[in-house]
Amino acid sequence: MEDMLTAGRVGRKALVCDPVCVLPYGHAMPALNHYRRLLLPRFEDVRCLASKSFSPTLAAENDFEQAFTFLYNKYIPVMGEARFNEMVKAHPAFSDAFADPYERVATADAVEILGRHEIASEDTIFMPGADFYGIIGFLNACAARPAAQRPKIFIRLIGVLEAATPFYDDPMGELCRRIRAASAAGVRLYLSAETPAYADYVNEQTGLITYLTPYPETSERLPLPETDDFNVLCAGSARLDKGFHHLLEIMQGVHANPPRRKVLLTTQTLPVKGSEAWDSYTSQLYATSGVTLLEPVISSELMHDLYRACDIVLLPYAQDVYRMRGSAVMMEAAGAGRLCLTLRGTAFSRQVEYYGLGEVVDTIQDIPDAIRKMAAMPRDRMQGRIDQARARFFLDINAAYAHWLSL
Amino acid sequence: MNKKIAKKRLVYVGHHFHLKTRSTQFLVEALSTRFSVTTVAVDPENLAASNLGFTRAECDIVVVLQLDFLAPIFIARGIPTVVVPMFDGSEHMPELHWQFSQQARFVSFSRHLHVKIQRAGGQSLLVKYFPEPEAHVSARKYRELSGFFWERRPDSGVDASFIAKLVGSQLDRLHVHQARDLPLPPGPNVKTLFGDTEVTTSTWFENRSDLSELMARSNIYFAPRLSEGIGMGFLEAMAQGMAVIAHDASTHNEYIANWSSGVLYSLHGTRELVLSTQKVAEMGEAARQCIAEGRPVWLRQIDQMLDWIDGCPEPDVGDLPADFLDTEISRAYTAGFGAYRRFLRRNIHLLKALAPKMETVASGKGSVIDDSPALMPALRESTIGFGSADARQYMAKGWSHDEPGFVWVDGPYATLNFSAVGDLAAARSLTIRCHAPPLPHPQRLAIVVNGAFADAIEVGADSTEHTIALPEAGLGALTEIALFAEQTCKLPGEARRLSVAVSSISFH
Repeated sequence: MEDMLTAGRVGRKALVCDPVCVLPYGHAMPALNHYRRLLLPRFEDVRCLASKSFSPTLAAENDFEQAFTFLYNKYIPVMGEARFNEMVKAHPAFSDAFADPYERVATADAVEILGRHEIASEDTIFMPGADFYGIIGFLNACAARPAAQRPKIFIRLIGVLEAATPFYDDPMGELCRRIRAASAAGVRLYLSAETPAYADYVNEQTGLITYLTPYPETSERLPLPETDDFNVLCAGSARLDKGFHHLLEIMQGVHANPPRRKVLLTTQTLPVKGSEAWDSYTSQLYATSGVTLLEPVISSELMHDLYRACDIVLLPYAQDVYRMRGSAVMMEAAGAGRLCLTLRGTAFSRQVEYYGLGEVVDTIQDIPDAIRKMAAMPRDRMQGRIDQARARFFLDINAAYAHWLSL
Repeated sequence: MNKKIAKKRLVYVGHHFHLKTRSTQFLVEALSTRFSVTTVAVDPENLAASNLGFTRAECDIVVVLQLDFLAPIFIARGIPTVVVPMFDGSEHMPELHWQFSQQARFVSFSRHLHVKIQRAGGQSLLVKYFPEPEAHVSARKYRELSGFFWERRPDSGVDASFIAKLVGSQLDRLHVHQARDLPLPPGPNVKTLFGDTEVTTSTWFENRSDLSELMARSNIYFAPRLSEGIGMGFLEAMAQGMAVIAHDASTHNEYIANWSSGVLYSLHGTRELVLSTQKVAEMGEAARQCIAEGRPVWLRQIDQMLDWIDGCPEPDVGDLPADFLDTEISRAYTAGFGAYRRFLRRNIHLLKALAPKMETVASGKGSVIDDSPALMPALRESTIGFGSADARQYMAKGWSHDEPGFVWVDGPYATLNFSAVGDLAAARSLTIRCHAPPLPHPQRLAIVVNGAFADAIEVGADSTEHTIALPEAGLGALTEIALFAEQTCKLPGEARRLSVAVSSISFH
């Protein structure tokens, strides 16, 4: 990756911006660090900007600036709602009177950031996991500047918080309309998306060429474990749209006709608050042979250990929710060198099939049989398949980033 | 020079019944590997006789088994406190019960209880106990259907008649051990309940080996209680390769995978189970396998549990009324479940000191303020008059429909949300006019403003005004006023649970 990106510096300063980087765990914090490393060879100076509500300690440790007012507490509830509302209302730009009071906050933040960092036309704003107000704020702030002071804006769309606003009936349509208008007005915008389906959709909505940029390679390939058991990891936070409620059925299906290698499943559990209706279900999962339940939030070190210990990664994600979206876990699994098993119909299942990154089945009921087949695959054959898929996948990703960033 | 480090002094406070039956002896043994353990047996019916007067200078950690209500007493004395609650005893405890012990650490043997404690803001370590599994189970055991039932708590509904409903006359043999936990009148003659099944009974075993022999011959174990704290009895049965038939509740449903390693039933709406020797044999073997797989995991967890206990921090005592808690919390607990709940509610203000790190006091449901500040209504007038359309915009949760001049709180909890504008931001007190439905005792109503306890008032059947001081922070740009009532009542023909009718709230 580095070789392709050190062809020559193309800019003076890059701000890697994630207004949604607020949690001390998850993908946002490592993503900022990864993209800083990715951009460093191309710029004289790369700075990472996170939410103002991000932990000050972690911000100092990671050299992140706490720059953006956090506007997504409804979607990522990191504080009590009263405290959230108080914080937003305390922002000097906030006013109830406007159709979208958050837009004013986001725009003021963006104007202040561009000014404070003395951003000019040879500089770049890079948004690795773009969100509605982050994009809108920078578009507004740039539009208000003379052309000579407008930076390039690279927007990587991941299908998570691009439509996270309560103030529009069609938030995604609104976002695409704004992008189209800003581009027409001369703001230099470069789009990419995490999945082919999403890239095509964004292109259709905005008229702009949209690159395909899955998550870059972030971890070394880990050798497959030398255990008699077959370890299945359902990685990442447990959610219903990630198929937590199918795991019992899957394990019952596995036990109904067990393979030679004993199948062990490890998964996190639903967030403790709001999951009361799933307590009995979770108890039965807890009682099921071979199932290990972890807390809803685990450390990145433990997550790394889990990747190391597993044979495959199970992703029974909802086809409708993930129709456009990618899966960070699928990309992490590829990085770690693990095949995944997922359902056909998600956007990322196309990538799994195309690159050979795992097995794709049609229904939940097909998963136990697929696990049996994968458990029967000789270890060296599985390793060979991973190596081939992984090489193709990351070669394409690296080329896509290199080309996109040189625009 | 190597100095031998003295073990930490740990006081283990346990229920005298558990200590007598030695059902949690494994825990004492585990603790003794790391700590110098002193055991205090407590009879909740006679607390005064228990030696609970130890101080921080006399012990480094206290571990309270099952008697969760004692934890705040030790916290107030500044002693690092670990609570090991039992699901069967604490299942129905209100959120406040856990919040009063928020500075303690918990060790949960039930997953259900573990998340309940976490939901209340507590810190819990989940562990799963597994006994030693039987190394080998004779195939002979599964040649017929042979059941064992200890009729411990017939008052719970799990009695011989109920077991007869579950299995009818399908069993070849059944032994009913009729040693009850409570002195209850005898039930029907069990030998007449099971048709052709050969039924034997006992009330006492001279030797434990007699019981073991009986268990070794049986392949079905009927769990004797609706729920368990850990469940030594049914876990031993699983370890011996028996298919356990148990009520669908913790901890049964955390070990038994339904129709895979045993059978779970619901007490209500149960139909006769269809059992076969082959299915029972499969479930018995799966049960034994489950214990065999779990045992090494439990042995590894012991160290993790000891580390968790060892690392329990010293509580922040602040201005906790140690003497008050010492006497009153035990009195309230022994006065009954309802009395204890009311005691906790009346003393909700103690949470400020008992749970200093809690962000939101009392409800644990977090704030209920609408998610959009743009939709937060501004309050400019000094009075909200209830029963009118104007007031509705401020009424968030728990309110019934408008009635002439007042609105009932439907249930024990209601909230108001508004943005205090102008002079209201400087208000220092509020006056609430309200009345209660006909109740056996005067209604008590706690008022919490922006998460801080303001006051608790007594509300009678006549509409009366009560003026209370607002908490120091006063109202604010985003104000939430929460009302917590102690009692509710359901009147004939009413679907609502009425607690208090509010006519007006004014700010001064």
